[in-house]
Amino acid sequence: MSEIMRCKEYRERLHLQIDGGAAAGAEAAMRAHAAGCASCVLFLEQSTALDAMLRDLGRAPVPLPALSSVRDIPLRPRPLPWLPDVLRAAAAIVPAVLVWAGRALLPEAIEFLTPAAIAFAGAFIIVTAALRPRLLGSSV
Amino acid sequence: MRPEGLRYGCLAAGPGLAYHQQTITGNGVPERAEFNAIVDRFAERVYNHALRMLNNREDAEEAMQDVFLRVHRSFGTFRGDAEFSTWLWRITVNVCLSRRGSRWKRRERIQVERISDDIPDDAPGPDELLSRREERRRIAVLIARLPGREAAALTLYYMEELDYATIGRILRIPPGSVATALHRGRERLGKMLRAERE
Repeated sequence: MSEIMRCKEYRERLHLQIDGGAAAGAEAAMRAHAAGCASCVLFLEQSTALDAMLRDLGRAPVPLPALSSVRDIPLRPRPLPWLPDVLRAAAAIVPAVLVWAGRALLPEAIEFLTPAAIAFAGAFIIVTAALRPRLLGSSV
Repeated sequence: MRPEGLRYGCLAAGPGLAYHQQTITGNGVPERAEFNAIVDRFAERVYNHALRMLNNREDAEEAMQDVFLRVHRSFGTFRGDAEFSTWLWRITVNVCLSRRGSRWKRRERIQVERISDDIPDDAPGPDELLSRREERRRIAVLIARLPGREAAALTLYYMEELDYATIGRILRIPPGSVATALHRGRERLGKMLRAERE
């Protein structure tokens, strides 16, 4: 660890230390820095106080009418629940059909059709991935 | 394929998991009883997260409603790769950030509403109680003024007591960026507090 620690680094490490995640071996350099930096000592005091205040925020009860309104939300099944499966299948099948049809019907154009099919599949996957949150909501 | 029951692993510690599993319909959409069990388990946490992010009771109530509506509608898309609570927090954070964004677009200032009535009342002496309540109220107001990612990280860290890795999964950022967001958020919060006192 360098014997010279800048204020920025000290403050970043201090917050890590408050969270219990400071790397071992940094304490000595931090103590050395704090010994010669009054503003960082003040920052240490303020950060500790702020941390205590943030831990002390507590939770408010949910207003009963709001809770009731959530419990009474009309539960309707998602429209078109099969849509994700169809989109995934289409991304695989459509390019394959294009290539197959190209080979059978336009053998002279196959050199053009194969990259076109691959480009189509790529664009399709990108577009459906981009629209996925809108179409399907968040998922993990 | 992952067994259906494991998709709702978060409920394992809660009451009546067997019942919840029986009531899940074939397409993964929860029945009313299961949905209400989820609401009862998470409503207070979702509401408080929204309250800290938005600093407005009405907005927080609407956000909570929106979150649970999305949870219900998206049940079928929950793939079970992460814990249910991580998925729920991701939806909650997205809803709150989106509401903050639309409020900014409407050029509405974040309303410095008095939400001190929502701050729990648990301190002993009247003077101490007053100053602690006032401090909590000020901090609650200031958190809502932080940039979205910092406000979300601070709220998840302090209110939900989640670790860096889990917060990272929720915000889709690496744990190092969570540490940076928390550091910047606290630094900014400290500056705002000092500016208010002066």
